[in-house]
Amino acid sequence: MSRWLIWLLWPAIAAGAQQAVAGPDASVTAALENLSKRAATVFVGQVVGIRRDAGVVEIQFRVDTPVVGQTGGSYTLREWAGMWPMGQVRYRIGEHALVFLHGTSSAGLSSVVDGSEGMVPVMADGKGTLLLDVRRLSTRVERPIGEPLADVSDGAIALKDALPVVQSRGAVIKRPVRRPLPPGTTPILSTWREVMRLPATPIVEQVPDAQ
Amino acid sequence: MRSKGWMRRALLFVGWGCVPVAAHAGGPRFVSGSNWWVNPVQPVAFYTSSPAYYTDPGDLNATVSHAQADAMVAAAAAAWNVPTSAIVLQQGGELAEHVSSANVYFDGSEMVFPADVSATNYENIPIAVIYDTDGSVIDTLLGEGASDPSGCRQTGVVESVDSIGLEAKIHHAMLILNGRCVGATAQQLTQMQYQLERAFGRVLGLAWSQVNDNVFTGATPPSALQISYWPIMHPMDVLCGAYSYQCITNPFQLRADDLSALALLYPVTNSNLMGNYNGSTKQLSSVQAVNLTGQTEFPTGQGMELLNVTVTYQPQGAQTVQLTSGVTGQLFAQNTGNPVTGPESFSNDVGATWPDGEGRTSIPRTPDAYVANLYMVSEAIDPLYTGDYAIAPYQRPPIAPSGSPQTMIDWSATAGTGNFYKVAAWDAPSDCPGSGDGTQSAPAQSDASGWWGGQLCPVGHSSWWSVHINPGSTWTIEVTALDETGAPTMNKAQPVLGVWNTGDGGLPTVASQPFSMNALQPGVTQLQMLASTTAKNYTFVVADQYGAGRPDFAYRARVLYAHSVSPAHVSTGGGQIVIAGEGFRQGNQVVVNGVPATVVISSANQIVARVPSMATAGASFGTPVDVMVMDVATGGTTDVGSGFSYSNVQPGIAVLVSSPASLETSVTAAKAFAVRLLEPDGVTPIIGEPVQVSVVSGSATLGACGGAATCTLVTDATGLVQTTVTGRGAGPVVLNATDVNGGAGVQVTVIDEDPVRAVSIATAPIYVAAGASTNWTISLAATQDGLAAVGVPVVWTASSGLSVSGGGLTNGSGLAAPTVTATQIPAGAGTVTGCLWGTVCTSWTVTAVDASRWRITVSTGAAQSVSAGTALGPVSLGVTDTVGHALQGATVSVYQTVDAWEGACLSQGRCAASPVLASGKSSTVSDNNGNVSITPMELPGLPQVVNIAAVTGTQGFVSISLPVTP
Repeated sequence: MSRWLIWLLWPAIAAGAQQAVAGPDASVTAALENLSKRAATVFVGQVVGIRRDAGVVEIQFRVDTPVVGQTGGSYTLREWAGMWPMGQVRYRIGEHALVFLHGTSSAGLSSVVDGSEGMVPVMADGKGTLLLDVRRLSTRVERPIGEPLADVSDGAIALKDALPVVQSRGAVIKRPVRRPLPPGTTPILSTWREVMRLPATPIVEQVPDAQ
Repeated sequence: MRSKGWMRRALLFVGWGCVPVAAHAGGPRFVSGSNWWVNPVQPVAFYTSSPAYYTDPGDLNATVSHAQADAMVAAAAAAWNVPTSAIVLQQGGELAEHVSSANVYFDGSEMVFPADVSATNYENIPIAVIYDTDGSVIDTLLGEGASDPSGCRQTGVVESVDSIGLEAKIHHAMLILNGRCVGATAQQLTQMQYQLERAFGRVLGLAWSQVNDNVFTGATPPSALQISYWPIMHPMDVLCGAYSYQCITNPFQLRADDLSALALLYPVTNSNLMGNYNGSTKQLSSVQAVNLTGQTEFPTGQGMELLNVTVTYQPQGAQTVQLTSGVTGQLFAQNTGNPVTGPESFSNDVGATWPDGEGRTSIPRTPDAYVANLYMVSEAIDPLYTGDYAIAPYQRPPIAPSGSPQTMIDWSATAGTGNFYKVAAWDAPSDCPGSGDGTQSAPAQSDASGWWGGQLCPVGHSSWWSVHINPGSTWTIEVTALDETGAPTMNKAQPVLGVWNTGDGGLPTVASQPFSMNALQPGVTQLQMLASTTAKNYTFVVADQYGAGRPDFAYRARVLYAHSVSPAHVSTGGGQIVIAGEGFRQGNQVVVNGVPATVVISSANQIVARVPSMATAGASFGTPVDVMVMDVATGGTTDVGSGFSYSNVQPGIAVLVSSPASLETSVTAAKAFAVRLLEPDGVTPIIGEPVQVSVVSGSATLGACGGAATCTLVTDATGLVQTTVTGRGAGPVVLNATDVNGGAGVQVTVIDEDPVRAVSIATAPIYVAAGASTNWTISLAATQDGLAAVGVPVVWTASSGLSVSGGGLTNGSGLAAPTVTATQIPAGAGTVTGCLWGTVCTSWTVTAVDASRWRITVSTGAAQSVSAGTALGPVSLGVTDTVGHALQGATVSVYQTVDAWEGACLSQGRCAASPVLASGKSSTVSDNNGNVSITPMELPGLPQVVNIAAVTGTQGFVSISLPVTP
């Protein structure tokens, strides 16, 4: 193709190269696939330290289970300090999670894929079975407005069931069974809601200004 | 010119980590702290109410020109220019250069941006808007692939507030628009506009907000009104399709809650309206609105922080809708430090510890055209709203509320006014002892079982405990945060742990776990301790990581510690060991040299386990092996480094001598559980050897253990240990006897069967005259499984007028014979009841008959006739009730007259009247058979007639005449 033709068609080529904005995931499993496909490094670990420097925040992980692109031991994530606005706590020391990380940039920086969503909490049930708290991933699943979040009452899947999906980056077609979260986790669809009888309202009122 | 070190200079200016206090839903994202700030404890807004933004001079990408991008940015910013807020968000111009990876780089310590984009240029350019045409800036900052279009929900617009001054003002912010997220499709650009609108809200200092959260969760179907009041600053989008702006109505119009937050940060007041906006479209923030403040408390008066408080509008005859919100503890200290990490750090200087602030929230602008029915109600913060989605910069996980939701009603709220309401959660925990759990200099003794409870209350309170640890054992301290029901929780106290050698001061001198809930099991903070070479006394503290303390901050503490293993030597073929310590529980595992052993018995202070052979354990002959107790649920461990050694010790032999064939509940079996220990030759008794006897499962007690279910006995001269066994509940009972040193053991299973029990009273029911006083001996017979129940206690009860004495225990024949005493027994049925084994009962009745129902008849002697000189026989009367039951205890009055013999009457005229020779009156009482015996009043040797009349009760009467002929 001649250079002039490329020049002439460049807007169309460029427009074609633009991809559609990411749509919702079809399921929690699809969300895991999505995260794993976009991650350069995946592991199960625990945040053991956070060190703030002038331009970089270093988050130290103890790696318990390497999954993709990591051999174990420890991992230091270096994030742009601009992602740590003052007073905002992105991660908590002690947090156990299945962590999806972008590849390291030329500046030596990286971050968790899709922010908090790429840090999937890991916990154990009473028998020591490791579970993923996938409630936040459930919010990535397409649903009509007003429809309840899918399966949040069973907000967990077993880590061992999820890892094949992540390791294969979606090549393994498997839908992990949803399980209840262990006692101690706070439900989303809380019943701690107002249950009250209001007294009579013998006044004439006007509707507040609509917004 | 590029600015190297913009971040460093910015941090020098504001103090890196000088973290503002809690941002709150429908309110500020940042609030200044109390120690390091020029303007302490204030919501943080931009330093100017007109923070102009400057756009990148380049195109957004190949299809979206610079002009198109500027128009889109202007539209996104325009949403924030509202009459009731002083904010004016407009473009100030363009940046000096197109920003890309060519002029954004890392210099080895920090990111370097063009000089005019950097935070140090904030007075000229408060907000820099970068068009990241190829995504290279985002990739540089967030990592390779971060700008990929598949991640546009998160990286379509990247915002950063990168400078806040000590005067508690935002200086500078940056917005990076990802050129890879827009293309030829118009919706893509609209989606970016929506994301940018929300990002503008963030850089202006607004927090995310939780209002009508059911729109997001779907917990209850949202109404159209609720959807219309769902704030633009909701934390997480509902994804109803490819473009989330299509999942919200009027996506570019602020809601009441957004306006309330703006009014808090950028209010229009009389002064600035006149000074700066005279002639503009601005109006007072208080116009057509009410200003509400709410305060929620525990019954103790302590404020309850981290509740989301919404203002709900109650239209007449229509569904309610939440309008605005705030989070309690708006200006309260988020972190006051703790004994483990010391006082709050510079970066944790947030808020202030003023008591009323803990439960208070201010909601400055709730719409109200004239007068409206409003009420504030508290609710939990959605647990998903943490980290990037937090509705306030709470440093701790949101606290689950206690008690019922609190409602503060503001009926007929008038526009332009403000009201303050305070309410206590009456059913929230109300106990806050604040003492009794030691101090650092005088710690309380931890429980010998290794398990105990505690509470962190009030604010700043810590628990101090002491424990003694032997050398050579590792151990674990665990603390589980509990909610008010006693269940583990991740959303109450956040316990941390520190350990000192007893007597030490300052920060922990031995070990610490400075961050809460590091264990995998929810709610558990864990600190694993190394073994020491000498016995030591330790002091340890349980504290809240953030220095908080509340009536609902309960915890369960545990010291998991194995201090010894016996015996010291186990046969190479394996055997049984006893691990002594504390903090054990059912389900704990034992590992010997890394190889699992079989747990036989487990209690808080002891585990009996069967260990594998030396070969299976991979151990060496004569070399001490490691014995570890693990709690798989929490990951807690305790380890005795030199637990025991495998050796040539031959295990003894345990022989079962006798055992009960079966058990009966509450009955001691006749046959004892007896085991004999013999040397390996099978003949020689092992004398003086400790043997642990125990009830492994089922319900029974052992006589030799003083009624306990386990104890250690010592073999006698014949190698024998024995104990009686008493069943305590139906079902299988497993009895075990184990040589503590050698490991030989015997286990048998016997069945405690449900016994067939019968109780009866053979004594017939009794009828007695009302008002009588008498007594009876009755007989109760009890059997169990057809045999006399011997020695079983009998519990007697009696109704009014009756009492029971004796007969409290069945005799050798299974009988009990109490005496029942009636004292002036009232008319009616009385009952005496005897119960055995608690529930097996029988009754005996006494019927007291009213005097009106007594009847009397002549039983014998009525027909007798004798000649003078022969004595009349006694006359027997019978007293009954109207039905014919013999009646005892009835008083009978007897009247007798003796008439002279008159012979036969004349054929003509009246009979001659006979003279009365004698008369008499007597009284008697009917015996147990209701009988009364009367001796006729006969005059000796004379012909005569003896007349007898008997009266009982009010209607009982009988009379007879007995002739004594010449």
